[in-house]
Amino acid sequence: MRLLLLITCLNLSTLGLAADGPLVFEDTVLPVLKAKCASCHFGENPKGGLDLSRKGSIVLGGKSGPAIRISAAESSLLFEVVSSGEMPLQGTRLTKEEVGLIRTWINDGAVANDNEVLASKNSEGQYDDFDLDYWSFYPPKKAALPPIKSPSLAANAIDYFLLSRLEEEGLSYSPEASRETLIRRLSFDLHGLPPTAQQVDQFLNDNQPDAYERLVEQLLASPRYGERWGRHWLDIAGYSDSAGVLAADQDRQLIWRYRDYVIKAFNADKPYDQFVQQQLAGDEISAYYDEYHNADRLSADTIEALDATGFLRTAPDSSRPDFNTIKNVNGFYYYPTIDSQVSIVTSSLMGLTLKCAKCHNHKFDPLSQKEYYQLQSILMTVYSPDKWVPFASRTLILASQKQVDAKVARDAEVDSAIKSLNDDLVREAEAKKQELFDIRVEGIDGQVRDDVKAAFSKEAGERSEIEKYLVSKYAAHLTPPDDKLQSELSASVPEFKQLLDKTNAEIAKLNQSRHVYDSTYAAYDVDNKPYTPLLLRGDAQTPGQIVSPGVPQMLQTSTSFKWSNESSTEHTSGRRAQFAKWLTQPRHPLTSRVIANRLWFHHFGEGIVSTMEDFGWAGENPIHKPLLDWLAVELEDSAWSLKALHRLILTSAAYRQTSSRDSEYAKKAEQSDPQNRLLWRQNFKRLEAEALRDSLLFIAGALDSNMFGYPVGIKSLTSGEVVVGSGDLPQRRSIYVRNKRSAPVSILQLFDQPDIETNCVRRSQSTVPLQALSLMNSDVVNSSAESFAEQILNKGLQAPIQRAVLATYGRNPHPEELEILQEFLEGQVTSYSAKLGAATAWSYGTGNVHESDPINTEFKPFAHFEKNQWQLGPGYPYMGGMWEGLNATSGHPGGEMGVILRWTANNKQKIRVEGMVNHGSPAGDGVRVTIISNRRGQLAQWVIAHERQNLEIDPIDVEQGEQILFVNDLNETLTSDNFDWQWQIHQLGHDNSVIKTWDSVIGFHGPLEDGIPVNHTALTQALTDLCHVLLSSNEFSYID
Amino acid sequence: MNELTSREYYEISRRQTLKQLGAGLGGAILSTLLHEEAQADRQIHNLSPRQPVHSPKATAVIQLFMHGGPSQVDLLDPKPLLNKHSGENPPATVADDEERTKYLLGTPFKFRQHGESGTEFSDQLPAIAKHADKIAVIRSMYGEHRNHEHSIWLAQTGLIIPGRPTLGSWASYGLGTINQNLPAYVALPDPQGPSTDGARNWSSGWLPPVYQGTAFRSEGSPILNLHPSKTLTGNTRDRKLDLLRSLNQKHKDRHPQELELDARITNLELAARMQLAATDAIDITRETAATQEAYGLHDPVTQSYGKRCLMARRLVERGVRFVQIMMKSQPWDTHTSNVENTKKCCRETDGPVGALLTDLEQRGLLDSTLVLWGGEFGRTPGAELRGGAAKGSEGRDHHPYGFSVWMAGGGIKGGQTYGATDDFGYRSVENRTKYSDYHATVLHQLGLDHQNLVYEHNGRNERLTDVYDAHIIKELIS
Repeated sequence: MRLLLLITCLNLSTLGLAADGPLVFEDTVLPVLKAKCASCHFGENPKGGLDLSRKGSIVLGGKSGPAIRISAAESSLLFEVVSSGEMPLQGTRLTKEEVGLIRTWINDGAVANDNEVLASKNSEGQYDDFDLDYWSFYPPKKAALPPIKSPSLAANAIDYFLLSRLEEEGLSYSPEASRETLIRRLSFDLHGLPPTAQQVDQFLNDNQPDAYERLVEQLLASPRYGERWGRHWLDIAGYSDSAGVLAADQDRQLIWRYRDYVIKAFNADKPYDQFVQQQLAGDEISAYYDEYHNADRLSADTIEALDATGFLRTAPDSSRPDFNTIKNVNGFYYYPTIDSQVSIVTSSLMGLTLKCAKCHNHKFDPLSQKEYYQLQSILMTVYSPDKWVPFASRTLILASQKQVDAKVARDAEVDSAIKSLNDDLVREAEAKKQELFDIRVEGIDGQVRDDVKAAFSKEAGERSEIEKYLVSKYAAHLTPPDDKLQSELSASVPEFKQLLDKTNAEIAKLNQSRHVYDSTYAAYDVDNKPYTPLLLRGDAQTPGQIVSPGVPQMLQTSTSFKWSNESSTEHTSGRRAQFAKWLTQPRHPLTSRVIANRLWFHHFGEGIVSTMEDFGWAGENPIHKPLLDWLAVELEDSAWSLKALHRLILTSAAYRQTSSRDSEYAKKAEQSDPQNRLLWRQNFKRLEAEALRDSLLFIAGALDSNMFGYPVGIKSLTSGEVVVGSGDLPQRRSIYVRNKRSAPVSILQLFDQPDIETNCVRRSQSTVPLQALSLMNSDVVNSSAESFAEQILNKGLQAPIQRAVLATYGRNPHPEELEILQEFLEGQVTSYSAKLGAATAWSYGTGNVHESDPINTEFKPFAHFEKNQWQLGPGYPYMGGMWEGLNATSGHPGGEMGVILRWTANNKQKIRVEGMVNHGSPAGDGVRVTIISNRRGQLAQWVIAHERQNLEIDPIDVEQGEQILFVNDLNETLTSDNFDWQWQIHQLGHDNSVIKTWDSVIGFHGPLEDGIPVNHTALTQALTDLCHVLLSSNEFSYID
Repeated sequence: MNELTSREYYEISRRQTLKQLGAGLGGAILSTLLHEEAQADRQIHNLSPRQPVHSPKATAVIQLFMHGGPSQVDLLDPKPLLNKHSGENPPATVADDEERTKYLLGTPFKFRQHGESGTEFSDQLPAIAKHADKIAVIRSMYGEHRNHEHSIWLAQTGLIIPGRPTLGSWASYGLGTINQNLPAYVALPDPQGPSTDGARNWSSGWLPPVYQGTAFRSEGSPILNLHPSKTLTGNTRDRKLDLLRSLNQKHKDRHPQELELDARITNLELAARMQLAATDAIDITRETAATQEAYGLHDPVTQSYGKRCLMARRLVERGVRFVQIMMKSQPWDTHTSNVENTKKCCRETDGPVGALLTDLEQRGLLDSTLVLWGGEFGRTPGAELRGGAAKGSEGRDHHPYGFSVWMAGGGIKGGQTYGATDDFGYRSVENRTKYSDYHATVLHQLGLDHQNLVYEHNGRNERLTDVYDAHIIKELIS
């Protein structure tokens, strides 16, 4: 077809060929190349190494790389040089028709009779002893503890290694940090949250010798540990709740199950070797296939193992079912996903960066391009481009074959039962059509009833103009169409309604009897023998020789990677299981070292190998290699328990050192080791984004501690800010918040939460003014400060400053600090009180606008106050349905009565009223707001629906005792009538300047005690300011 | 290739050199050297000004990103043969790989020569055409993908994969900013709605987030959290800031060696100044009525784009390094009614862009401000008949194989066209220009070397131009 089109459209073709199907190299292209290019590019020693005599050698190419990209002429070198006339250098240029022929041949898939693939010799590295002579390619060995001069300083083996090196330099440890510092450091390191005042108190007063060790145990045992360390793991696993590619950046619906698996694994101290095995091959190493085919149901262990394989599903990918229509889709969409996943696996588990070997042998490490594709081949069974599964479909149902069969059978039964019920209904409805007509026609106005009857009794063609009109007007009512018939019948024919209700109830019951199973987002083999070519220059359009699964030869292991086709079972290839086994074998050169180094990094702020993703030649050669090896072997020997390794690190004297650099000793040590690579002190660390946000909320008493499950939604505001949920408190921990690659939560992103492209092996750290702005002004920090202050005041009025400082900094305020804070608080209180009209000016009640004479609108005070809200009685809604309520910032009208906020003037004065009303719900018809003066009547009225409005009325003069009523009642229906509001009444001077302000939020109060409002006084406002400053201060964000 | 030549083939990095030297050096010296290398990567990132590697021609960039891909044959790349053979099938040498379009489709727009240089522009770009002698049109751009997102990634970040830093991020990473009261890199999104690929158009990818663009709103408060949400009166607010300063100072006094804390303290002051500076920067009411009119603010069609052009000038004037003006969705994506839709886009943007060039020149800013105009790709010279479009309402499909963009100011030699497509405008054939060449050239004008502007990410020294054999286009530089 292609050729025919080409000929007809040229109308001047001299080729004289006519054939269906793609062009074949030997028949069409070869003659052209022979005629025009053979003198340089055919035979033994072609120019530039490029032999054009065979397809295989054309694809392999010469010095400038592959000469064609199959199916992509536009970017093929051969096409480029012949179409631009750059080639041939000598002789005649190719004609336009010949160029067109080459283009068509390439674009049609470069078909040839001789299809032999020529192996790329450059892809197999040749390495000498020097290349292989690198510490991390050999198994870790546990060395004997080195002798040290001051063994009294050592708490465990770690200290021997560190001290021995320090002593060499004439250095030693810094003193142990204070207990306040230690508990705060431990708490952040293990939980990502500050200690509570009670925990601090307990620890400070624990006089047992093992107080510290018990604290470590206590913190390791808390579920907060898994949330903190799961977050670290998700960074390197490249976890995100969205697919990543294309603007839509669709959600990955079930990947959260993997997140939960990770948190649970950390909390349960799952042995690290098992943790790795499950993530790489949970489906293969569990009893999944056996259970699926033979058991009644999947066991909990199997389900857990399947969830774990989400690790292999984190790479960016948005492939849709219709992608198979895209030309060259593999290179454009599928291979980038596979390569990302390979990169995630190797950088996270092996500490190797192989990306460069995708296109050529690794520059620094003895790692060949072929070995890259051998590793890729291990994942190819999951990600075969030839049997690609679109990203949203990679789920496994968590049920056995028996269950699935039963489910299918049950579904069929239910479907058929429902169908028969529906058929009955349709028949019954059909039968009742006339009845409906008869009933309804009688309801029509007598004057036209007969005319209507007559009109409907005639055939369409016989109706007069008037009759046509009547039919068109009454048809929907009298003869409803089939899709409306049932609802119309049930409105007018009681027995039909009974039948409909009964049937619907039966259908609901039937639907409930369906078998429902969860699914999980998993990795599993889709192709037992995937085509895995080495891609020349990493290009999917230039496939080279086929490779089989393998691992880098440079890594010296006692058990080598063994995989052959015989390793396959009926259901799965076993490639990943073999790989996982190889990777987690005892004394693997990388596995235990890499994870031990990670733990170390998070506890000290720097790894023993600082290039955590690169243990190869280009990475850092660690000073403390014997220590790293010791830790690695120790981890393996303690049954791969990560908690045991934490324990070891945390109880070392090294960890407990002060981070202070402010001493004579520190100044000396600073001279010889300014970077603190020898660990003569602890490092001073900054809270990461999630720890910062979680801690703000935690201190504010606004952290929802619910674990697991579907991610919390995010919302993009019109301001461009992305907030958690709807922005209201309380909120859940950051690890449970939806991570959408294209819409990161603003405050997290600002504090360096990584943009998940593939994965993040080490976060960067930045310091910019926008961070300060966010701490000072963002809603989440503001509302946390408010909530924090409320928390403090709710527990009484004693020593609020001390309690605020203890909660934020984990210590008591220094005396001079206390003085400054005290002074600040008093200043703010004075300032707010001076500007604020007395809170007692406000009162709260219910009532309706007296529509005909608003002056007579009645105000009935609320009788009950609970949970900071005025309402009709105990519990909300009172009696299950009485919604009337008002609190500081929001309220709700009732079905019968509106709610009223009332302000009473203490003097004759000129005032201006302004305010804000927000009806946030997209549902319902909004609320009505009326402002009434009891002396002069209605001042203003608005209906506010689904939006926020700023409102204002012109200045007025009020008398002493005059009352201004802010009435909020429902607009027609009682649905979604919750509203937020804030009113301010400004007393104006002669020049209209504001003298004093009564603010409904700041002045909000509960029942008066001795005439004094107990809530939301100037003190709350002032304390909120103080809390806000504490939360914005540097000390809160840093760990000593 | 034997072992030796393969070694030669690969560039040997400094680290590798150190390692090899290390064979003859004491272990301690070697590890010290390597540690310094490692530590250099562990800096705290900020936006303090940095010296370019060579003397820059441009100190700022304004990128006018034309989302959707404007049609080269209708605007910047006249093709008389396309018009002549309009309605006929395309010849074999130029047909597009995927046969997505049908017959050749000429343009009803008229091209005329402008300025002393005689550069041809379509009659749809009259205001831009007035600056013909300042503009260099590149007619030989080509991309690698025919999807919007992939092509946007290529145009903004150098590769057709997501998650990499944009050109603007690399510029801020390389140069920092001279005005700390404003962000180094500002994006001006269309208030009507986000562009295709949204905030990723100004993402820093795996570069530290400090280098990402800050989106400025054109209404209200320009930056998120710029002002306290509750109105605090003067002295209550000042007292809060004073207390914060005092607590931070005391904390710093207890940590005299931690320089990072100084940076945090400074940032607090910068934030306070930014509150004023950012508000002032976008306050276009401070411009004269004549200026406002020149930018088309009186005309509802040009008002929105004009406003952002004017804001861009004010930002550049105040030292912002990189400003991006975005359009809602992808208005140049003329799959149907190419003529009508192209006209509409031109009408909205041409006048304001012309005014921007005039204004920059009058204020002496054009020499140091590089203005970039272009989309993620061009459009097919062939007709797209989506939905069975009739004659006259044909569309044009995505076209990455040959398209036009232009540059002006910032040391660009104006009054020229560079490169060419074939007779029908399908394929870039002369001085073929890939995005890596384009990026290398832009960085060069900023005084940066695309080969040395690197960031180590996952063990690889990443750069904007990646492994492409990228060339600075000398012909474009004055």
